[in-house]
Amino acid sequence: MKLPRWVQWRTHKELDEEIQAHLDLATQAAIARGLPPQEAHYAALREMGNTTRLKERAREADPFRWIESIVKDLRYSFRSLARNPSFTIAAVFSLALGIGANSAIFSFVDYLLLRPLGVPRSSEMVRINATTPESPFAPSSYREYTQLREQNRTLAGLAAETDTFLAVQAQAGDLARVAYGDFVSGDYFSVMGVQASLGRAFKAADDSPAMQEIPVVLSRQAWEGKFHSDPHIVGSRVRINSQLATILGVLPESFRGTLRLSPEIYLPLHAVPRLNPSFTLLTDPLDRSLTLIGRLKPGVGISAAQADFGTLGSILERAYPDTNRRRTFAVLTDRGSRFQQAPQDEMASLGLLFLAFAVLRIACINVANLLLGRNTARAREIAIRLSVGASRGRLIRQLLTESVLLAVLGTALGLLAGRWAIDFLASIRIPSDLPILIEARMDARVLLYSLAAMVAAVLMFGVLPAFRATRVDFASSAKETSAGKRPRNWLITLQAALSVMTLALAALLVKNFVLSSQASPGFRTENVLLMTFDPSTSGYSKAQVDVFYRQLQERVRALPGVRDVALGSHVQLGPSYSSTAVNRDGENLGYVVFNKVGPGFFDTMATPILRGRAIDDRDTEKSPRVIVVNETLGRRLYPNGRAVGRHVRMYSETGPMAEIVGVARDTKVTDASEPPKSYMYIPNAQDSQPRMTLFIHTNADPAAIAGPARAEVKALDPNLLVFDIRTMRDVFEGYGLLALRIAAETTGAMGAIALALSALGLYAVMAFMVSRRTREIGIRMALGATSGEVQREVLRTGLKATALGIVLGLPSALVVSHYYVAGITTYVKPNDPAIFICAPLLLALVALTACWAPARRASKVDPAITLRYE
Amino acid sequence: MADSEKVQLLQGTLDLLVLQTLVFGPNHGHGIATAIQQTSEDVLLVDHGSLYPALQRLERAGLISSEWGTSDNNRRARFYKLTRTGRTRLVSETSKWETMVRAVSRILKPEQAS
Repeated sequence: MKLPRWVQWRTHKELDEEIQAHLDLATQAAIARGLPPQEAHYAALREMGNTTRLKERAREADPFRWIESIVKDLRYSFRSLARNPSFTIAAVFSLALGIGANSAIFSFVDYLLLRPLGVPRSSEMVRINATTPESPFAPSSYREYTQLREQNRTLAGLAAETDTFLAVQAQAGDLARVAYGDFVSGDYFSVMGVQASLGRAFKAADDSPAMQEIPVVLSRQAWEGKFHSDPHIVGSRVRINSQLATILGVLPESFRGTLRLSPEIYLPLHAVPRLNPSFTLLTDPLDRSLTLIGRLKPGVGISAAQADFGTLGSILERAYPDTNRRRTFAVLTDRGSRFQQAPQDEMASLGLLFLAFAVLRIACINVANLLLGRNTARAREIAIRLSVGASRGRLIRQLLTESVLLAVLGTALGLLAGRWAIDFLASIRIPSDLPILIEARMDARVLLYSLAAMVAAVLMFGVLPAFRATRVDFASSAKETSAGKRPRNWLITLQAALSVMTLALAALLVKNFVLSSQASPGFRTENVLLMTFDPSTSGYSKAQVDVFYRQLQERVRALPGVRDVALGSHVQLGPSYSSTAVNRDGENLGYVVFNKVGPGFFDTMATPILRGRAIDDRDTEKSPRVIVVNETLGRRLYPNGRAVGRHVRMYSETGPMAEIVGVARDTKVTDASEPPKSYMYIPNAQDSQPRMTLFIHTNADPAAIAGPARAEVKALDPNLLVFDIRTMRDVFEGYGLLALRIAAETTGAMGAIALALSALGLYAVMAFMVSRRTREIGIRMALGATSGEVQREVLRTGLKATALGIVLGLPSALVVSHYYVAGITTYVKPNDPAIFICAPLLLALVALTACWAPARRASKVDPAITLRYE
Repeated sequence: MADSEKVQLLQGTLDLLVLQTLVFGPNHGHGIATAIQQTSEDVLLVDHGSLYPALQRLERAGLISSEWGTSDNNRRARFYKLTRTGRTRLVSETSKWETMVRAVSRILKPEQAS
């Protein structure tokens, strides 16, 4: 049998056997020539020469020798690490914290920004946004979608989608439950390249005006969570917004949709008029609510697609001058569009990754210091090995193997810690009926990133000590030296600089969170209950919707314990908000976030009207259009005069005019620590929508009103679905403060880790220094130095390096905070003096504590004993 | 025969000699060494210590192959034999060797070469 060449290597035993055979044959030959047996044997041996050297040379030719030597190195490293448990534990623990922080942060950033869509060849996916003077990311109308889909020449397919809330019942008469739905074009799943894991997904024919029962496809999560993983679900029926629907299939786990949130139920676009009769999505060219996502043809680049859609934009502008004036289309990669639409996420991600890397760097400096110390202790061993003929490369490899082993152990432990942190992030629940989940998870991408961090760590901590340790000065090799002191002070300085920076940035974000959670957002957060409804899901007409809300308000206001009620379309600092274009004298002012409110809203939410009047019963469908603006928008619209009494044009350049009748005090709008933001209030009566939230101001615990209020809803319509019941405090804490809380918790954890690692590192270095210099200290004390002097000198060495680090670290912290923190905090100045004084003080205190024990040990040195040592 | 007449092998020639020896059939290490010495009428001295690394080198290059067998006097030994590539290589190396020997001779004894 012919083995592949690489397995044809001799085992040592075989080579020994072969050489023995040779010797036997040679001996026999010599005996045959007439020599006595003993001499024949010696002759054979002489002829053979040095058999050990021969075997050595034969083995060197062995292609698998390196594996053998690595195994040997590993075994040696294991033994050597096991012999120094305190060193090993300190190093592995440092690395685990550094790597764990990076794994956890990366998984979060990956969820936030980087993770590709769960579709095959996701790099081909592009987003098509309409670009208008008001917005670079405008959605499209159904007419635009069909025209673009048919006329483009660069896409393999173009799909459209729009999200919605659905009322889902297992059977007519059952209690309805809320689901987050996605209306998609019939080719959506074929463009995505996603197939159902159970049943089937939509075909183009499913999205037709002639559909009988509405076909729906479930996400895997909804199937597991809301349909108990029923294996016979395909073909069964549910009621959606009171209409019969058939379940066609269940999607695979990996597909989480292409919106910012993961839809639970997918429906064809042509189901829109059946489920929401008042929606004009398919017929009105001004109803623009479709998000477009396409797949590039193979080999077509993004710039070609951009050129194609630019041309199509001009064609549509010419064909429909009344609706498409100054409207064109931009093509972005899916990831590019995420970056551009959420620059704040990108900033936050970069900041977090930067801090995590700083923590890893601090951990690596610790390990480098520990290794340098250990290698100094081993200097004699290394010198002896070098002088008896070990090559330098061989020794460096041995030392690096040890570093790699440390890194692997640290990474393994770090992944466990990271896993714990990721589980914590993923366990955060947002108070909303939107399926908002922080889908941070430990997956292959996170593992890969952690491995890269591990390699970076080995380069950062392992290489320098290995080279330094093997660069032995033979003349003084056998003498005890305190070599390597200087660069290690330099490492302590760098570590202190990184720590003070991490600490200061963490403290800024923690302080910002604490102040934000204590500050009033400008509206009532206590004693408010929120109930959300969408009667259109029960087939209500517009007139029925109006009647329902009027009766509901009357009934709930009459409940004992209720002070006041009002309607609003959105909850400030809640998970969703809407914005629309505002136009002043033909000048477009961009998009402004708005709330459609009913009479009494400002009293209920305790937002004062500063000038003019609030929105009240005067504002009806027939009365002239009015709006109330907040202070910031008022100043922006009319900087040099009073805004009240002026007019603006709403929605678009050709939209209706509205009079500004009041200016309200600024409130927080989308983020609890944002700088003042433009906001406006539109009378709900003048632009009504079916989905509204009832704001209930109570005397006492608002949750106690939930039951009675529900009963009133049931009395009005037993089948009507209450979408969401929360207290305002829950929304404020659970969503309004969420981003700040996560930022404070993650950076706070990293600041604490940085501090702990610095303390550990400094302690290890100082303790080592004292133990190396025991003899010197003993001599000095014998010559008259007092123990106090010795103690002070050790403290001085440690603190000097730390102080220098603080001096270097603070300016960098200020620069980073100026560019990074300034954009996200309003309650804290980026150069907050308290923080920039306390962070260095804290670090200095920790450094002092870390140096204390080694310094005391130095002062306890007994000259009589040390001088006799050796 | 006096030791002074024995010649150490030139670097690289051992491989060629091993291949040439194996042309006559498979042989074990001791056999190869003895064959080279005897064929050269004891002029060439094979360093047995360098024979085994050479054998491994040749085998790894695919020029020879080996298996365990039994020697003439019933001793278990590893037998080496020439592979097809080894045979081709031997031919080309031999002609290269001859070219070189001629060239070197011409330089050393120019009057005979013409």
